[in-house]
Amino acid sequence: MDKKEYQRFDEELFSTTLANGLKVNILPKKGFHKTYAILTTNFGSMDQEFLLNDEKIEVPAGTAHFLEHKLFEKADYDAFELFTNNGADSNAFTSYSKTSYLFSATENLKDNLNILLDFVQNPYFSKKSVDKEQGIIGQEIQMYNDDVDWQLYMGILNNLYPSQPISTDIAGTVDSIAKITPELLYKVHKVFYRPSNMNIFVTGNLDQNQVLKWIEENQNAKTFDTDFSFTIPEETRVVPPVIEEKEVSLDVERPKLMIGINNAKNLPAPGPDRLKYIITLDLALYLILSSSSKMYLKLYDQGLLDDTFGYDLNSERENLFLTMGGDTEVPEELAASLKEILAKDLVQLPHLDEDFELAKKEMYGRSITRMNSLEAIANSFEGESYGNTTIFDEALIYQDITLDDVLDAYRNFIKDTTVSTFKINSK
Amino acid sequence: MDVQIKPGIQALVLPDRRFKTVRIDLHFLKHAAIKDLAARSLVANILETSTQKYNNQVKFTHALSEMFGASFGVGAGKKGNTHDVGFSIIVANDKYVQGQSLIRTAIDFLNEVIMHPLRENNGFDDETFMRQKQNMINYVKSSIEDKQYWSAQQLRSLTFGTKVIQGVPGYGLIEDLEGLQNEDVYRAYLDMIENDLIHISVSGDVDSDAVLQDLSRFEFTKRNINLGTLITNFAVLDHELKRVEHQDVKQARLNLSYNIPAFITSDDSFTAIVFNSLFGGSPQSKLFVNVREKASLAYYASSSLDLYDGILNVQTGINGMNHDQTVEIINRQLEDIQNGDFAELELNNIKKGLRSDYLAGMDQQRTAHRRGLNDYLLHRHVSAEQWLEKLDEVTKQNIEEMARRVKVRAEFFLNGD
Repeated sequence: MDKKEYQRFDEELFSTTLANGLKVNILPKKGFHKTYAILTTNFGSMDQEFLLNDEKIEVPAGTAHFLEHKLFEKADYDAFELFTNNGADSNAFTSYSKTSYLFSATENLKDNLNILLDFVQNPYFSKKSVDKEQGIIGQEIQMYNDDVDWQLYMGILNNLYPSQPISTDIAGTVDSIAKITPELLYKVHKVFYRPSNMNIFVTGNLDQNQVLKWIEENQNAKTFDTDFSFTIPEETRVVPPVIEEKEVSLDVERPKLMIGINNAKNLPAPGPDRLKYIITLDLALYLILSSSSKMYLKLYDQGLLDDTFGYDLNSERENLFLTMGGDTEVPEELAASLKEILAKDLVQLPHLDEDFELAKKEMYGRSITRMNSLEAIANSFEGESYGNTTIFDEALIYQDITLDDVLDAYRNFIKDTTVSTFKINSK
Repeated sequence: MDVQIKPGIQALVLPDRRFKTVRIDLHFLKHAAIKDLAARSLVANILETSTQKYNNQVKFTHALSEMFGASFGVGAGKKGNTHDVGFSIIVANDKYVQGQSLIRTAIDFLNEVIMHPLRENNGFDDETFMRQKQNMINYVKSSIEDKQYWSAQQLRSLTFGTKVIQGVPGYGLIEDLEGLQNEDVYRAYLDMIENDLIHISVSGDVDSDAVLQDLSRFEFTKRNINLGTLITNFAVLDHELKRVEHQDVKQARLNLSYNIPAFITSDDSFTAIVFNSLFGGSPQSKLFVNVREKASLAYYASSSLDLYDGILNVQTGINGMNHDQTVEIINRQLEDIQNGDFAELELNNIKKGLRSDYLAGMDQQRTAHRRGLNDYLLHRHVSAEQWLEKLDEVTKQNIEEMARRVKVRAEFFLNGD
């Protein structure tokens, strides 16, 4: 195993790639009672088409999430129950580009690791269980439909990425999930759950050599069908332009506004530079949009925004987008003010040097806080897209960033973009 | 280390080398009436935004950034019949910030926030007051948008009635809030800092004596306070209270409450904890398995315990058409437990899960603070070993007996139009 030492934080990361391609990362946390393990595949709601042995396979919206639910259920057992019988908590989540399965436990680590690897890698799908799941997920989708803030977020994504997989709901729609069959799930699983497309991160109360040995034993006992060829077809559809403005009326107390920008032109290739770029941009956004910024205070004092305001920079594969918004009585005015703020060069900000140093301190300290949490350590690991960096690298990167880096990153991000607006009015 | 700094002011220091941060929690506790809630919640919101020294939000947040991005928050909530205004701050351990004493800085910051708010004459700064009052009104009015939360609140007022604080939300009544004047809120503030019970706790890789020394920087004076009992026993009703509402929702919400004869102060609470976990409090519970997994009726179906008031709550999100079927399945799960229709193995697995949750909680600073505060308020000390032992002692028979004494109290149903 490769060992990476983080002396300042008194932590060590052990990494290796197994013969079958599965990537393993282990971070011991002495003195903790719990161990947390998360197994991730690079397959998410954005993946809606592929070629398997030259056969074109359409993946209905919501399939990744559906598959996530379905993997827990086997012919003669339920993985969820196995975990609980072992005193472990388990869960799973699906994002645009990934699906993750996890457990946390304070005992029986070996058994729990085996359960995790086995239930994710040994699929079982039947017609009956697929039909049943369509009912459960149907309810989940309805729950999201009642969530106005979710509607707001989906609205802006739809503006930024009209008719593209990234703007379809992760859970899909009642109609799209109705198209899912066991055969499709098997094909998807074979292609996207092959070990070389996956990584496992284990952290907590453990011995790294023992954990590696357990994982290796489990993997060596399995054979995987790798006798197939597959490709993800090049995106040939014309990408429609960003929708500049859209509004809907819903049953809300106060109007809601969200504005967004998508621009991945300057996103570095996968690797540590990608993380550094995103962190750098995040610092720029912190300077202009966070609740510590003078602009925020001004809008707050003018009553244009309140504590519901937030912003989020999100990177999914080769996409990068910024969203911001919240509840407001005056959506038009808020949108105009935000656009004005975004258009200004950072260099015009008063006390920029001081505020920048302060922002760096803040971000470094926040990283340290997250180091107490096993979940934060493991969940923030993005694998190859960020060059296998961890939360500990992140803290160190913050200290290296210069003001010029921030100015450049922001200028490049904002240049030649369309700022899109999505509004929810009160009915 | 658990010491009384002054009468009515208790300090608990929990040194733990595993953590990279130091956490300081500070609670103001009062046996409260309904009218106190809105004023005290607004006090919490006002104190959270500015002080004399940090007189606008930029200065305020910059002070936190200077402490390497300290996380700071003020919250208000209830524990049984007690109202709690809680402050918490988390800073990086001094060893990661090259020799600065962030603990002392954090204590001074908390003291500034609590003792030196922005004020004028006999009130808070008027602009701050007006704005925070409006923000809180907005927040309360928006809470109806979270259907799950709102339904739980409706159930609460049905369960406890509207005459006791258990029946109203932690932030109080909207009509009280709307009527609040600056002077009223300021009076509630003075009452809080002068008369409330104060509980301070500090955890992290710290030296207890040094921390105690630093805590003396707080400008609090001694006080004479007795919170009385935190527990209220709500008598079982002879008929179930029911209410139905219709709104434009796609998913209906069914919420139920029950009397359960168990309180946090007695060993029965362990039986109740295991019962709840078996009934609906865990993913292996009967409600989760039967309502969600087997019948596909709901996305969520769970139960939770209120051991200060002897109440068990059940919450589900369902298709409105399935109301009767869902109620029937929920009732059947309770009957099954009453009749002992569950295996020893199931019981053991439930206990394993609870044991694991308890141990995992020990990996988090906030859990240590919460347990420390509870122990102090309940005049007890339960060590981890004792807790786990009590858990282990719960028998199948204990659970059946408790289940038989669980009586339905109220049902709130939010259905589509």
